[in-house]
This record gives sequence, structure tokens and C-alpha cells, in this order.
Amino acid sequence: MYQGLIFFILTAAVIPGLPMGALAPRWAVVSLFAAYLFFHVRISTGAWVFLVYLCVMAWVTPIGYDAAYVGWHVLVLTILFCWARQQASYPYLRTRTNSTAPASSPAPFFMRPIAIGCGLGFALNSAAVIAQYFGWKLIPQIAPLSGLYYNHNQASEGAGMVLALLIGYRVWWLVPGLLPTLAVGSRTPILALGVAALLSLWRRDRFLAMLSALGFALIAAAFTPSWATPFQSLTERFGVWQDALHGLTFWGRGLGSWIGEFPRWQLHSDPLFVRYEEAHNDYLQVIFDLGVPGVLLILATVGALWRASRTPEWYACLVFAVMAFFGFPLQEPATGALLVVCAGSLSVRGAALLPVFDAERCRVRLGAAYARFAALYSRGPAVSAGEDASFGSGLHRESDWRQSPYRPYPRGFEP
Amino acid sequence: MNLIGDKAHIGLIREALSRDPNAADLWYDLARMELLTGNQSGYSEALDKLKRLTPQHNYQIVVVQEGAKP
Repeated sequence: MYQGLIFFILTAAVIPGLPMGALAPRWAVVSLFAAYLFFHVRISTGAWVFLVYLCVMAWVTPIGYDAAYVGWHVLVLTILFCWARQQASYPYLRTRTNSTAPASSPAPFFMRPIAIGCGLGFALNSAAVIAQYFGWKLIPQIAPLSGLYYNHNQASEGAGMVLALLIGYRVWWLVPGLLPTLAVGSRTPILALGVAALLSLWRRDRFLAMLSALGFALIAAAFTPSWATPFQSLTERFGVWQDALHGLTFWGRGLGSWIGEFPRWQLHSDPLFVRYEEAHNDYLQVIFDLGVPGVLLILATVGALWRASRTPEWYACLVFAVMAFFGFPLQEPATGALLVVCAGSLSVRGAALLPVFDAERCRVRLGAAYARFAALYSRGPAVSAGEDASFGSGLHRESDWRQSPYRPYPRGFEP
Repeated sequence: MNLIGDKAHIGLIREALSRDPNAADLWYDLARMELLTGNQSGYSEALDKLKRLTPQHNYQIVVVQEGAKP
């Protein structure tokens, strides 16, 4: 259960007194973990192509330090993605070879410990928030009641993703631990969780989902006047986004170029006093940095995730996707790492792309569509598949994966 | 530490600007220091860049008499 321990440290590590005392130790934890994984995980060809492209984009960035800073984070997150994809492929293989388990729902044996580790980290953060409410001042804060995060918005964004995972895995005992962090943080995670809950409800009862959406909107409208400045941050964000549109180019301005280049178009706020390190919209910032290829990257990712099966990781990714419209969760270690791990596990388990290349699996599915052959093609009890049959329970033998173009085990670690 | 009028610090700011050329606050400080040290061309260059980065502002030189209230 080392995964849970690492993600617990990732969500709770803080060094009071150090500049960037919440960010630096967490990026250090992820980096050390990724450095270890680099020698034990197979980095796919697609990931290498992606990294080479980013190296080119880093080369054109005017400020080398910014390119190196963002590039390092992307490298670390890419390795984590490959690790999660590889981890998720183990149960996928097992369920395919085990005729008693349903092939469409492999057990997420490594995501549950991660969810529990993150949940414990945010529960610790909630304890710090409550202590700060009663006057505890050991950890510096740039916003009140930030717990171990210096800024309560970042803490609540992570808590939003973890809450989706905990509910999905029915880890109810940890849910109350996240509520104080969510209650004092940004409104965006609440909105994102609401969207996730509505989509989940939509699949079961559309009328109830619409009724809930109406209730959600009415409650929000009722509470809005009670906030001192309900739309101030939104207006500020619109100003930033509007200015950023003037700086977009076809090929982008380079990896990590936002902080250095954006002041050239910053008109809705005063660049003498305000320096935006983030666009407060991850999509826009990716497009600003990477241009049209960045748009294609976002569309491909969203498209692949949309087609993936609706697992707890899928809902965590959805929460992230909504939050990324108003914040910068991709640039935070806890939320960024959670995203790539969830996406990596979905990229296998959701079977969004893999079955396309898995001719036998497609054949079983198509065959099952014909009722009279259903028993023959779908492991029915009437006809038992022979040892050499290319369908039924004898479909995937243990040795099959060695001939497959997709290798579920890293080289040197084959059983 | 009083930075105003210190030519050594002008060098530091110029070095920082070579790595971060769109930092309006650095251009403002540079223009102010160049003005105080009497470098007319350096002042004009810094002010020109500052005006391009912050078109929403107008800048003017204000002479403050010693002992006068700001």
C-alpha cells in the first residue's frame, strides 16, 4: 500500500518557514517518486513523442527558467501517468483471463489506497483548518483558514477530487474529514462536485437530475446576495481571459511562457501591481503556451476520457475538468498528480482505445449482438469453449499477452 | 537599504530585465533610477518601454522640495 502512503505525504507535506513551503515539498515528493518510477516503468512511445514536442516548445520560451520549471512538472506527471496506466493494466489482464470475473469492471486495486491516502491527508488538513479557526498560527497563510496549503482554494480543489473518489469507493468514514476543507475554500469545487453528482444522477433518473439542477441553482441564487462581493473574482478572471485572447498564436508562445509574456496584453488590471502567474483557466493557459497543438491535445484528452467507463476516477477527472475552467489545478502537485493517475488508470480500464486494437475482444462484442450466437460468443453455459477456440472462456490464455502488441508488464518484470 | 541613485543597483535591475523583459515594476524602478542619476537616454528608453506595458497610466516628473510634505 505504498501508493496510499506516497499520496498521503503528497497531500499533507508542508515545511513552515520555507518559501513555497506547501508547494516545494510536494513537488519534491512527486519528483522523487517519479525518479524512482523512471527506471521501473515503461514510458510509452506516445509519451516520448509528447515529451520531445514539449522540449521543442520549451526551447522557444523567452524565459528559460519558466520553461524548465513547467517542463519538469510535465515530465514528472507524464511518468506518473505511465505508471498508473501500467498499474491499471494488471487487473485488466487478470480479469480477461479469469472467466469468473466480469471483464468490463476490473478491480481498481491501486486506486483505492490512493483515495484513502489522499483522504487522510485532507482530513489532517481539515484538523489544521479547525485549529487555525481557534487561533493556531504555526503555519503561515496567504488566505485565512488554509490549513497545510497556505491558500485555501488549492486545498479545497484537491479535496473536491478526493471526495469524488471516496464516494465512488464508498469510503464513507473519511468523507466528514474533508468537509471543513471544502467549506472554507473556493466555490469552484462545490460547483464541480454538483456537476459530477448531476451527471451521475442523469444516468439513473433524468427527471430527478433536472429537478436537482433546478434546486442547486435556486440555492446558489439564494446564497449569492449574502456574499460580500459575489462576482468580483469572476469579473477579474474575465478580464484576464479577455486580455489573454490577444496573445494567442497558432504555434503557441512556448512552454511556461505565460508568466513572462502575459503582461504585454494585460489591460484589464495593472501590471505594475499585479503579476498573474496563472491564467486561472488551465485550458486557456495550455492554448496560450502550446497554440493549436495544445487545443488538439485538450480535445483528444477530453474525448478519450468522455468515452471511458464511468468509474470513480472518471468523476474525479470530471471534477478536475470543471475546476480547470476557473482555477489552475493542473499546476498544483496534489491535484495534478491525482489527475494523471486517474487518467492513466482510465486509459486502460475505460477501454476507450485499447479494444479498438484488440480484434478478439471486438469480435466477442459483435458476436454477442446476435442473440442466437450469444451463448456461443459470450461464455454462455450451453457451449463451453475449447482450449484452442478463439472465443468464449478459452479466449485469453496467460501466454496471449506475449504475442499482443500491448505489453501489460514492464520489460524485465514479466511473470 | 536605499536603492535610489545607486548605479550598482541599476546594473542589477538591467540584468533582471534581460531575463524578464515584461516586468512593468522593474521598468518603473529603472526609469526612476535613471532619472535620478541624470541618464537622459536610459530614462527615455525605460519610460518608453514602461508606457508600452502600462498604457492605462500617464507618467510625469514631479520635483519634490526637500522638507516638503509628500
